[in-house]
Amino acid sequence: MAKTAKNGHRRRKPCKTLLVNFFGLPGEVLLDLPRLVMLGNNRMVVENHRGLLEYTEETVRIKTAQNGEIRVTGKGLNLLYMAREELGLAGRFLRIDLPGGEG
Amino acid sequence: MYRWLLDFYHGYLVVMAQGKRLEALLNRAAATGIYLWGIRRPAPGRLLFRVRGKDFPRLRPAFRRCGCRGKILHRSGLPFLLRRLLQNKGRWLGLAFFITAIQVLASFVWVVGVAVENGELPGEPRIREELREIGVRPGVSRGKIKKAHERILEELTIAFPEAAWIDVELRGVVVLVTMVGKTPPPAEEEGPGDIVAAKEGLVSEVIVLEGTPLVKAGDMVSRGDLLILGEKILPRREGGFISQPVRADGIVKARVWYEQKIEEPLVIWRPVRGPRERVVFSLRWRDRVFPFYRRDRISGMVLWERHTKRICRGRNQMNLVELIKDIYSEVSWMKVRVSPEEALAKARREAARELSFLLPEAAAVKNRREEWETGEDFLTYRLVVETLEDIAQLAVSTRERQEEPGEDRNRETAPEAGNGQASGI
Repeated sequence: MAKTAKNGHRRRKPCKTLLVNFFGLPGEVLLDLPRLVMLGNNRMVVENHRGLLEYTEETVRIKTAQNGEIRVTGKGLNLLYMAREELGLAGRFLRIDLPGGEG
Repeated sequence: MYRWLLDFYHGYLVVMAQGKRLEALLNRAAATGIYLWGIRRPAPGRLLFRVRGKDFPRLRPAFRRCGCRGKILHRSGLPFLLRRLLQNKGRWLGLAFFITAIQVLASFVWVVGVAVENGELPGEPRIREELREIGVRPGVSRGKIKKAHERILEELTIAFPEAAWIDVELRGVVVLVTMVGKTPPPAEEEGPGDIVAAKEGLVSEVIVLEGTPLVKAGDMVSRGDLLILGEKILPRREGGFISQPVRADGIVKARVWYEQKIEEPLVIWRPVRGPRERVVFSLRWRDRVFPFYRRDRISGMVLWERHTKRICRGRNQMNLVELIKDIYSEVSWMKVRVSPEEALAKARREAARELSFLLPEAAAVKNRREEWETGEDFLTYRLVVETLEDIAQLAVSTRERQEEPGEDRNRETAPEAGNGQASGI
């Protein structure tokens, strides 16, 4: 469903999104969307990230494409590994927020 | 596990970074393509992570740009381990010295053990002294003992004739000498005894070494008959005779006859291979046989032939695996008539074989007579062999044992008492 802009006009979906939805193509590849894989509430793999914004034992904020952000709140969080496009996170996850961003 | 092995192989560093923009440092490292793992925040403003040794120099610009300081806390993995080992020459020298010392020390004999079993052998000190003289003592090289093994055994055998078995075994730095003494044969039963006939025969010669003969040449005796009585007749000064019990001894040669009768069939059923046959290949592993297929089995009586082939000879020294080919052939039975000559030859062979179990080794064959007659279905063969052999056999006298203990064995008897045939033959 198309979103409504502040001025009241309906904002149209980008052509790429339409194409992905129509053909059922992988969004994380074509639209740079982050891909989250969770193992229970204590392990998580984030693909297609754009870097870390904050890293403490209670909060980890991960930057994603299109000004998005993933905020993981929990206890004893630590980064298992970090590579160019993928990072692994462990700890006890209490909350995951996905504020901002598009797609 | 695989990851850990890979990291160990490449070598890794445990780095502590300090600064305000630690997240930026991580982002830069990731953007440069540097893989970081085990990232922890031990305290605010501090970051611990692991990075491969070869990637660390590439991290330096990131440290600089983010205003952070990095410190290597620990180096781990094979490259660092090898470097540490190679740098320390003293350790290598020590290792080489240690190995050489072990090698040199292990090439000498340090302990000589003596184990004496059974029998009457001289004491351990005497054996040790002899061994020292031969050259088996602590401090001698193992090679010397190995070379002179045969000589040591020979010299020990000469030095200790009372030993029945001697073994010199080299176990590492220990020479173990084991000696087993001779066990003397059990002492013969003492006391008076008679000579009786072991077999039925015609006495041809009597040689008396001790005792009183009861038979003479030409007498026919049966098994168990008394031949030489275990008593000696001695004259007394006062007149009369004394009968003294002795252990009878002597040789009584007699002609002994052996007879063997064999019936050999003239008509036999012989198996003949039929047209149908079945070949089964199997694989044997240890004592288990695995047939490749089992179909179309030939039922009833079969002729079975087995051929085996050892496979992979080089790696199959113990013959653990072999290929087996079994041929099962159908059998049909045919009635065959055997010629009398063939049957006679077979009967002769069989009679000779059976007789060989009966004839004693010392017996001399004096005469051999054979006769046969051919019937409708059988050939009857009879073989008679005459031998000359010693039939004397010692039998412990029971007469004396029945007497009261402590009673005087010498007794007075009439002179004619010892000459007659003993009762109870």
